[in-house]
Amino acid sequence: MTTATLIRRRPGLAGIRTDRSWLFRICLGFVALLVLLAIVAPWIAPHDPNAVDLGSALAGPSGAHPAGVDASGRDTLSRLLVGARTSLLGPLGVVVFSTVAGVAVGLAAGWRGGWLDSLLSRGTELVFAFPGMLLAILIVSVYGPGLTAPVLALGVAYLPYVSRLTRSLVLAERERPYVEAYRVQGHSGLQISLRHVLPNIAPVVLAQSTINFGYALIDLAGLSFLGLGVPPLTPDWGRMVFDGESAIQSGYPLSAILPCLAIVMTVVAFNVVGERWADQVARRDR
Amino acid sequence: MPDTLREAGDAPRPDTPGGRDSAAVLEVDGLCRAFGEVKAVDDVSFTLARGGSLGIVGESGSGKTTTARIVVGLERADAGRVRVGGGSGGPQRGRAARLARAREVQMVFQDPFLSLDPRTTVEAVLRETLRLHFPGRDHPARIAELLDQVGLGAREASALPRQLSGGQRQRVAIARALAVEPRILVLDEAVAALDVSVQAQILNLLADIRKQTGIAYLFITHDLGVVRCVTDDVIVMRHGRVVEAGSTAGVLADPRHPYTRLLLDSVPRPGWDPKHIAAARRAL
Repeated sequence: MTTATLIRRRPGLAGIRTDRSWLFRICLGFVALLVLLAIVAPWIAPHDPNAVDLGSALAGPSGAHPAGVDASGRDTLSRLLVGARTSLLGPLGVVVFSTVAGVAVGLAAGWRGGWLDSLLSRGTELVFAFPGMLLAILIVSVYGPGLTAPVLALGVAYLPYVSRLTRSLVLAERERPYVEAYRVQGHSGLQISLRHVLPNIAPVVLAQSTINFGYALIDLAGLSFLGLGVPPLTPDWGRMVFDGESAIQSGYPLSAILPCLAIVMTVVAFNVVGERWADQVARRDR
Repeated sequence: MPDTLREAGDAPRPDTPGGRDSAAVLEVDGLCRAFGEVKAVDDVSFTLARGGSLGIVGESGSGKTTTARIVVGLERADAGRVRVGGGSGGPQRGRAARLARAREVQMVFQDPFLSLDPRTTVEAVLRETLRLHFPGRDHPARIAELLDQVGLGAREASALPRQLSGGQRQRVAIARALAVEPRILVLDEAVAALDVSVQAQILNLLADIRKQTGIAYLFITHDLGVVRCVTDDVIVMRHGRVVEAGSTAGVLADPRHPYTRLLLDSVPRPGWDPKHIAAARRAL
């Protein structure tokens, strides 16, 4: 079994080769920088992200506004920096929820087997069959705007990715002789699965979750582009692309292109990092 | 004095019911197990004396490993009885029964690399077992004592399995089994994965441990040289059945069953003719 092939990637991004270490280092560095910037954003942002200066609306890059100004006269750089917080926090929620719940489901299904496995596997396949975005749109339209509802919906939608992977890893892991050795020693199944099986499969699951982070970011950006999810005034990359639409029509594309670029680069970076981690785990297993 | 020494000698343990044959720590009676059409174990019976050493010999597929797995409780028998110590032998559930069983029988597996969790250090493996079975005892002292007993030093205590050699790993596996202070140690091809000089070291170690602790061995092996070294009695298995049983010296010196003779003849030595063995095998 090669662990790397178990990781699920979407067709468009699966073509990125990750065996080049310089690419991995650049991506890891980018992710680290991004997280750092998001954390310190309110202190380093040159302007209030919501301060409206209609006089300089759609202005190009200048000393006061290094990345230009959008159609409503708000500083693009400040919105990008502060928006990184929302744009990263949402996917983080999705990933944490889907990882914790997915590992629990996958571990229970893989370890216990039998009817519980059938029930949980069929259940998660049902979720797989239902498009995550639609589920999120449905929930947002019922509960109104706010980040919690779409994050939960996407968390549920991403759960099968993790639970399937966990289940197949657990199935392979529990056949290994050390598990039997612990059984003979008198350890309970719960103890063995939590203390030994889980830590042994964790690296691969975390690699999948890292890749999922990128996908969740696209999905959430897509939702806020549609005007769902993030409340109107909150700076958010997806929302910025939506706001920038009118600017593109007026011939000033910068305020829309920059957040697009931020989204694409972040997603690619998370993909490369996650895939590389999975590769490293697979290599160590051999 | 190591704790395990207390178990030594022939003094009956308080939990052994009186009136029964207290000399036997393991009685296997009419054991059967089939996998589909194949009868892996077919009416196997034997007794292991307290502090004794019994070898089960046979080729691969003879059912010896399945027998061992039934004895330690990893496999269920279709029919027959396994009486371990004073236990009733029936499958019991629950934590107390599980721990009681573990304290009677422990097992050392064939491949010491696979039978150790790759992420757990030697010390952690032992501590975990001690915590489970003897909470509230002085674990660091006992860990040092166990490592010393199997000939490992403090340097190996903090090592991960992959940092150890095959022989050292098997020593760790033995120490882990001894940590539970069982009365029976099942060794399933425990030296088969090691090279010959290391095999000899481990066999000597096992002989010493038996002398010190009075633990009983159930030695599963295909290697007649190993049987000669470490067992008092031996049973020979073929196609799931016991074809010969007796004292090791007697069986090896004067094999009665043609299959035992074949096994003995199959050991390479000067003047050895593989064609002759193949012909004898076909004739059997």
